[in-house]
Amino acid sequence: MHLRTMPPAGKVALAYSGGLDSTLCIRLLQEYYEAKEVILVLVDIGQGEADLAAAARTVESLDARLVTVDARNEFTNEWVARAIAANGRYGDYPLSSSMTRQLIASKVAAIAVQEGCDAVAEGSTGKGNDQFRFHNTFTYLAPGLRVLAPIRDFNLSRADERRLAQSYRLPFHQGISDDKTSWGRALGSGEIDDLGLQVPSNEFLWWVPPEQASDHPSTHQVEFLEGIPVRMDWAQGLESIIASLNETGGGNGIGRVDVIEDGIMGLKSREVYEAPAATILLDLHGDLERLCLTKEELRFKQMVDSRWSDLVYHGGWFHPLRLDLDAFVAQSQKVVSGTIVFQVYKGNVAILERRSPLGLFDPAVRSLEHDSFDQSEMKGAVEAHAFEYAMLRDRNRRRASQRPRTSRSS
Amino acid sequence: MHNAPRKIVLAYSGGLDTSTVLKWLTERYEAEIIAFCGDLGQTVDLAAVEDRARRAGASKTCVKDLRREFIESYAFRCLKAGALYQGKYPMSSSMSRPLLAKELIAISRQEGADAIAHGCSGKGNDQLRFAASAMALEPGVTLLSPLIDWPLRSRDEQVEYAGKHGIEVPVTAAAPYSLDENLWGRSIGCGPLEDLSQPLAEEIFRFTCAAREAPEDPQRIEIGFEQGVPTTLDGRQHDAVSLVQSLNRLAGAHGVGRIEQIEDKVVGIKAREVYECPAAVVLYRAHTDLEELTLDKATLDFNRITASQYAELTYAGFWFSPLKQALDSFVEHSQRSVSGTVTVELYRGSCRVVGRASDNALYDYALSTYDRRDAFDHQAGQGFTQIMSLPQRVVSMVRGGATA
Repeated sequence: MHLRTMPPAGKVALAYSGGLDSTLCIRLLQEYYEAKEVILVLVDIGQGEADLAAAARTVESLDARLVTVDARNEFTNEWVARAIAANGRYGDYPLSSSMTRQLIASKVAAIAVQEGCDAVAEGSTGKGNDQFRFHNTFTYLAPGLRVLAPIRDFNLSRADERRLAQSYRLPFHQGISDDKTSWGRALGSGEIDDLGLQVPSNEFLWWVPPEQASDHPSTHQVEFLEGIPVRMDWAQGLESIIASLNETGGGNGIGRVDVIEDGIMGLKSREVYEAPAATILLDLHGDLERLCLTKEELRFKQMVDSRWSDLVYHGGWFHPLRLDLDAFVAQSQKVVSGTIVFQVYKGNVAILERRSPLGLFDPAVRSLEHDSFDQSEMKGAVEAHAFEYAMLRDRNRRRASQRPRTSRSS
Repeated sequence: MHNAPRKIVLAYSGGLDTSTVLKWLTERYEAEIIAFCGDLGQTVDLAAVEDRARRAGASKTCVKDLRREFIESYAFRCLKAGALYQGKYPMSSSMSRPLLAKELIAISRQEGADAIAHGCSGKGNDQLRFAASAMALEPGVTLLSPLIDWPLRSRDEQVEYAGKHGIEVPVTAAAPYSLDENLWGRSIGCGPLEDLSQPLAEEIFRFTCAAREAPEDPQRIEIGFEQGVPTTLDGRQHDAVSLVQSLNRLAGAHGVGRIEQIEDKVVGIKAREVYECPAAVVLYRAHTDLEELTLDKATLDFNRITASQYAELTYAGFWFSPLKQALDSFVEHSQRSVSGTVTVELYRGSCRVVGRASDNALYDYALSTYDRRDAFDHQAGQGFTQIMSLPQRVVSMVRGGATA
């Protein structure tokens, strides 16, 4: 394979994960971009100690400085918390990697600026969504720096990548690729091109098939404060709630998401995600909102949520509209507090009890057992609602009377 | 059923409806009536209004200048949100009801009154605006709607009742229209307007002249905005009230500000409504233009959705609703970069933007131009075009080419 030499890149900060793409980028930057120095930015977004350690080992022999940034707290409390409040789903996919790409890019950009780099780089292929997420964030937060995406810019196929990795003696994982965050995993993004293929259950980290899950339902409760989960059973704080629910939910067959997804450029792909905690917490949050928000708020917030998710999926975390929408969401969440008791059982989440001092359900107003509101007042309301139908009816009558009796052919 | 109220605060305008309502309330409940008149900038002699209230039987009168609050916290909020009901009406009357209801509740608390009352009919929007606003602020409020409850069925009966009780019938009552006026606009409805085949009579207008009567020379005004709020005219700082007053005069004199629409009322009937809102029309035009310059496409697109929802809520009187509050948070946030100046030209009924400038503009001459200074990378344009067209190509590949 012959790769042409690119204009020299100088000092480069590279978003590094330990995977094949970004590992290969190090060598490509050194060889074809004549990088003077490559700084590897490894961002901890909850992928776990083992992954981080493996990523560090992989580059021991490569001439590049590794900088690790712990963004777990920021990811959980600034990103995931907002995603919960905005019911952040793109279709059925609880947004996870869509967010972490932008979080990682923001860390790479900050380090690049701080270290006086000439360029920022990342390992996206040219077929996916991540290049948009990186590029938007780099453009916004690393002004004036060149943005390099070697895999895309050399138009490398996966087979090309493997061949190059072999020639550079770089280790790579043979199975389907994996992108892991505390909020969920993406399995083989863009690689599962056979719509009939079943992802083997041993590829999942937390999820077990419902038929292998426990025969006994287990009951839990999550407490929300202003839209954010703050406690589950004995777990305190969002980070440990998520960790605990990934285990519990996955172990009960919850959180396998298999969808046909429309990518940023409008191309369809099959995506498989594993997100037990996200699936459960988004369900519970939505349920609590239905108890605490008004009908009009819920209707409108669906649009806000959908726009929010779209924007974040499309690489717009740092877009002004995301911040505007979050101002709406934050105001709406001031009353979304309470506790939901639920049961997980063989792939199902059943809500058993909802408790909220701010809930708008009032049995005294709703129930026919009470005389708290005068039913006769309903007559006027019902009649007013029907005015429009009376006018439509009259128009039908007028039309009918104007219609010629016999139809003529013209 | 509640006990008969002993002290009632009435929203009083000085017109025929509220004057007869005042009298009728004193008879019906033998209650003490506090007549409250909010000064929203309507052209009326407020001292005469108070006098009329006392003569109709009010034990106490209360006038409060609400102009500044009305413009700053109501009108300008709608302006920032871009809210126009059904795309046209700046909701000058709609917004005044929640503010009046808020004052009625405040006075009834101060005075230890046990009910509030208004003079709205059962057919319009205002009854709902008063009720929804009052209940939002005070869930247990007793709200009396005499015009719905009393036995006076027609206007003639009402005039007769007024005459019998020595209530002076104001000149406007002789006019066949229903009118409402404040600093943000005038609403004209009913009477001859109900005949859809009839053009509008020139006599109904007070704030605006006819376009053909307007001066031959156009006039330009530069309006300065600070985070979505208009603050200057031709470079001079104005407070909210004087800015609106000045613009009403200037634009009205050029015949700008007339709005007519077939409007869907809250109760589900259509009505022909006419408004005169010179300042509002000019400010909405200028504000929209400044947004186009300073906001990105995604925000502009979403703003249309929030604006329409904001208008629906405001029109129906859900001003104090949680959704309206959440929308305000969105609007406040999105308006942070909407600062700059817009120059409009007023000419014979039209208002056109002729200049705009902002430090926050997202317009980049070098990217926009097609001349020698073009900085747009046309190579990037090619890749973009290929990829943008790819989904179309996929459809075409799978299904065969589309038929034109």
